[in-house]
Amino acid sequence: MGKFVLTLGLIGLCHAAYSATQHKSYMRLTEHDLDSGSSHISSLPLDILVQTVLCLFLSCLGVIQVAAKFKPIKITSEWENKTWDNVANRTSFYSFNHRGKFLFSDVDSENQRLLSNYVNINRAENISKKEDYSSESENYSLDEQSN
Amino acid sequence: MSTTNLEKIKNWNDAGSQLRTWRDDNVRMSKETLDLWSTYIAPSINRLGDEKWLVYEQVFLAALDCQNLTIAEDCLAALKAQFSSSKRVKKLFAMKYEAIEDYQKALDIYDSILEEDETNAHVLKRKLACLKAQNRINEYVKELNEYLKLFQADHEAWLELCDVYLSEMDFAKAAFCLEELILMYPHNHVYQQRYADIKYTQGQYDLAKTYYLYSLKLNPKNVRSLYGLLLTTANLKSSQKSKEGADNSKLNLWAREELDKKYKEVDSDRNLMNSVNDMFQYLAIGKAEK
Repeated sequence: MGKFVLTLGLIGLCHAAYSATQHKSYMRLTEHDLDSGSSHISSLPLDILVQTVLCLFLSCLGVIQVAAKFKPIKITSEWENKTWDNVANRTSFYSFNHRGKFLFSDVDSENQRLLSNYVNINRAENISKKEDYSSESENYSLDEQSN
Repeated sequence: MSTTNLEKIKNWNDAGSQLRTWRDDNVRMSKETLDLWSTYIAPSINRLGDEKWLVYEQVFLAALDCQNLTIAEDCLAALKAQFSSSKRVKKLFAMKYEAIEDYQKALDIYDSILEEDETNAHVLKRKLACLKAQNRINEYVKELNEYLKLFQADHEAWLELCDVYLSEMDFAKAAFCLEELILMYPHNHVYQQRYADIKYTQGQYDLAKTYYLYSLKLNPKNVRSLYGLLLTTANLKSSQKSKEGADNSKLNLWAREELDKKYKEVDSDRNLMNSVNDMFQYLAIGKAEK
């Protein structure tokens, strides 16, 4: 719709310009004084004037529709939908030393190795304090159930 | 928000525009980025035109976040082939070393970039991030302060410093960082709210109230500010008498009504409303007893 109106307006404007030059050359041929401007014959005929204004208006309308959406005028609207999560996400300070390694990693074998290491370390630690370990594991199973 | 949007994505074009939104809005969502990449984008990467280099970088970072080194290597190779002498790509190489916790190698690369271009802020920030990743917080704070002396308009760095101070419970200094940010972006309701949060934690309820109210003026949809206002006014109400106390009760009531409205908009379920009302009463009683 917008594109159609814009094309119509531009074509109309071009046509008006063409008509105006033709009118001018006609005036020259009939030897009217163009520069005086005072006589009403030398100025543009009314239909060309109306066409120019109308087509200018049409092309303005078309451009508004074709161009991207308007931004809201309120200065706060830019931030309105921002949340702390996005504002506080600092790309240049990313560190990769976090849980993503264990949650999403594609290297299953690597995970297995790390896990088995972890279990081994735990086992070695827990041989000395077996009591603690058993109570901890009880807690752990309780947590699992409640989840 | 994410899941409903992600279900609608059916082809590379949708996926590309989703990635663009995430890039522009600064959303981390690394796992989802990788999923979109492997399902839709990777088979038709060339259709994206020049945008593909940005996508490669984005996916590379997401892959490092998820420790998916295969995808990371693929993206890096493509970028390296296109921009062989680029410092930005060199930085990505170093970031890969960071991801596998080889910080020395990463730092060497950063230093070599800095030799050519000593004011490269991105690389300076990566060097700082290395310190943080190794949990050397004291050095990190010191270096970050040095960095901020050079680049005073870097809002990311101020925010970072603020968070570090918060994690060390140094509220006064954290508040200073946020003051800088508020000066930089006076119309960002999130910074105002965050500042109020800090002031509330410090026990400066009057100031907190002002900033919560200002953040609500900037964005009436900020629920956290409403809760903040509810709590600050409840605290002030119990400690003050006469006229000011009456004002605070009025604000308290208003915040409560607004929150009520918000919950009703989202869900008119009775159970939820009941529990919300219970919580309000609990908050009110808790403050009164104090």
